Amino acid sequence: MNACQHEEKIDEYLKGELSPAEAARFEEHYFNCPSCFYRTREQSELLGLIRRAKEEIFSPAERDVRRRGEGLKRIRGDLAPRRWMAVAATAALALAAGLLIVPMLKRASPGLVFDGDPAVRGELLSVIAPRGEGKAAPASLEWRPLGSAAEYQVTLSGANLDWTTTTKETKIALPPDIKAALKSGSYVWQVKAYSAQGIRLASSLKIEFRIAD
Amino acid sequence: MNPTDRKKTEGDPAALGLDEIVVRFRPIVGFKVRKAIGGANPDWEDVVNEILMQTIAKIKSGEFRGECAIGTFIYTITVRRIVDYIRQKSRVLREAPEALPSPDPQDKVERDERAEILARAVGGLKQRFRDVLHLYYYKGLSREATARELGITPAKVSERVNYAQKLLKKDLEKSPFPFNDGSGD
Repeated sequence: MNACQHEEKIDEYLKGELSPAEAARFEEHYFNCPSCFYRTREQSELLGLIRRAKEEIFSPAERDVRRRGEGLKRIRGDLAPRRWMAVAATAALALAAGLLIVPMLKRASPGLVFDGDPAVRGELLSVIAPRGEGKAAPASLEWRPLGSAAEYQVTLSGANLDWTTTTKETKIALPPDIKAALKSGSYVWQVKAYSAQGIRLASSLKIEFRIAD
Repeated sequence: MNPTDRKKTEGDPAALGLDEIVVRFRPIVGFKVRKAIGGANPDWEDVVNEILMQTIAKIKSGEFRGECAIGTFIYTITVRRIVDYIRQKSRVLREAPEALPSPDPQDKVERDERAEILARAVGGLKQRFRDVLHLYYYKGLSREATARELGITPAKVSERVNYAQKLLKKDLEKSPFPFNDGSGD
């Protein structure tokens, strides 16, 4: 789909910066222009997500990266060209050694480290039950074990319920009061695995189950 | 868009079948209606259906003569119906306040999941892009005010916003819940 010159107005329209007459003109335009409509809808969704987000996601959490950059600049300034070449050669050797050694390591790093969150996520926990629809409240929640996990955190939520607990097992029986609170309707549960140091290793998808009327 | 498509969108009634009108305009009308009366309002789908039915009836009765684009014709019907709905609703609300619909747990899951993906994607951006998203979208400042705050030109704001958007959309499209037809409300 080709870009349209009215696309410049999308943000202003969604942010309510256009006058009522301009907004109406833009709306009439997107009723006739599929390209502008799809971009407006997509942008609206993104804007909604950003506005509902927590403000801290925009805060400077990358200072360490910047500091690293500044450190490099300082090193570059301090070194004479000949020493700089020696340092570069050493770094190249270290890199080559690293490339040889890393594949030999048994276990790779689990994945990404997120800003402001000590979680390290690289694997997905798979759940066993419950899922789908059942006639009565489930007696327990069960998932597959994750070798390196020391503890699991389980959350279960629904219309009138928000329950969180931790366990070292891979199955947890629902306490009688929670089971009693599970009336007909939809519920969602999720399990997260933590290391002994409290670092999140993996999460399951959020699984929905339904108790029939 | 090829020339035939353009002709169809811009108002050749003979070229458009009624089914095609419904398929083509349902998401557009839905977006406008949700934006006007709120995506959480349980009535929005009924209002959209009424608008589409009214459109079809008017086309069948020959009221649409192709003097304007079909999109403009449907836009006019949509705006009128929304105004009527809001008027009716304010009369009802004056008499008895309506209970809010109960939240759907699946919607909550999707929202949480997408919020997490967004946070991760924003976290991966350089600080200058985060700053621009924070001021321009999160705080809702204008392009000019954002530029003043950051000490850059408004054109640079647009450039950074566009770049950041592209990266975020790419990440969100990879999520299990890519963009849907919501209005973002």
